[in-house]
Amino acid sequence: VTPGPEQPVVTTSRRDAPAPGCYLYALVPATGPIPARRTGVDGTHPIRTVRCGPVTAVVSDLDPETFGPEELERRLRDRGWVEEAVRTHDDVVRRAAETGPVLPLRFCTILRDEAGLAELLDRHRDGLVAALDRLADRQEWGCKLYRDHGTVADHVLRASPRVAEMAGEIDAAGEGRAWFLRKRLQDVVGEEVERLSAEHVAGCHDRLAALAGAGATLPLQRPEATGRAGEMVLNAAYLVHGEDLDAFLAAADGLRAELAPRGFDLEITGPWPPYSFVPDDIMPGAAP
Amino acid sequence: VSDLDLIGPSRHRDVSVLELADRILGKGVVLHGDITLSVADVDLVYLGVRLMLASTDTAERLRRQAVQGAG
Repeated sequence: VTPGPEQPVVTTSRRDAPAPGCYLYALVPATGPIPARRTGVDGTHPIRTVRCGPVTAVVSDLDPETFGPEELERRLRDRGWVEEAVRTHDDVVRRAAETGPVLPLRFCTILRDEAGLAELLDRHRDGLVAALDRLADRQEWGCKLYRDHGTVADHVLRASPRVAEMAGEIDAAGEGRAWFLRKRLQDVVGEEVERLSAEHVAGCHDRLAALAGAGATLPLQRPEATGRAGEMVLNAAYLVHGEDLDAFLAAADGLRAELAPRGFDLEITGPWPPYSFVPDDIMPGAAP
Repeated sequence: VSDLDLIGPSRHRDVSVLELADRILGKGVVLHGDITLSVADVDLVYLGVRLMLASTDTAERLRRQAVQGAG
């Protein structure tokens, strides 16, 4: 469902704006330097910072002629541009995260100009400061669980009491009934694979979320996207305090070793900027 | 474009662009103000972009990069 031309994907903000637009990557506390290394999503303007009271914005300028609403809509349909811009956005946020707490902004948060940015930050100041405080000393870590269906089925054939019981029945049964039971066994193995998968998904998620203090699930990715043979059964993110990180990673290693013989592969990615743990909306006005 | 993600994700880097998109487009702070892409449009844009990114498989990406690399 690619947005069609009749759908209002982009709204017009303002006509005749001669000042450069402002792409907003991240917000950080107004202390310490932010490494400004590379050019922004337009490939031209440098990353820079704008301080506004207790909050510093990490931004880059945009040429308003080439980043107006229509132009942005066109770019968002250009896979090559989106890939590059997504990587740039992540890289800038990641570098900011290396220096302390960071609030990553949603992709393509573009303001009319720097005055608009200052106004926006001022209006949201209390909520932003509170959100940054909650993220201090915490990192996001990702966990994915893949299953190799054949290996899980082999494990079920070896280990499932339900399957063992049916195997006994088949051995004791006459020819006709044994044939019927063998057909039925295939279904039972499939059911047991699903049951075991659900059990391990919940087990991993509960264990890691308990150690992290906060967990969130992300969309599952198909094998075409992951480039892996196994089927993804869990895609989750955890917000881990620095003090808990060793225990978190050790638990993940333990789970990986425990589940590998059963056909499950656990993969940890990170550290990420806390994309999955920032408030969706920070409303203007005082913090709650 | 350095696309190390083709090797597969590791603990620290080499993540796929779809993985990035699930965070950068699906998550992150949304501010209400005079913003080019309005809050109401963000989810629709995210859906479109995610479908676009998810639709191309690894083999196609490898081929495309090989073509770009040669050009």
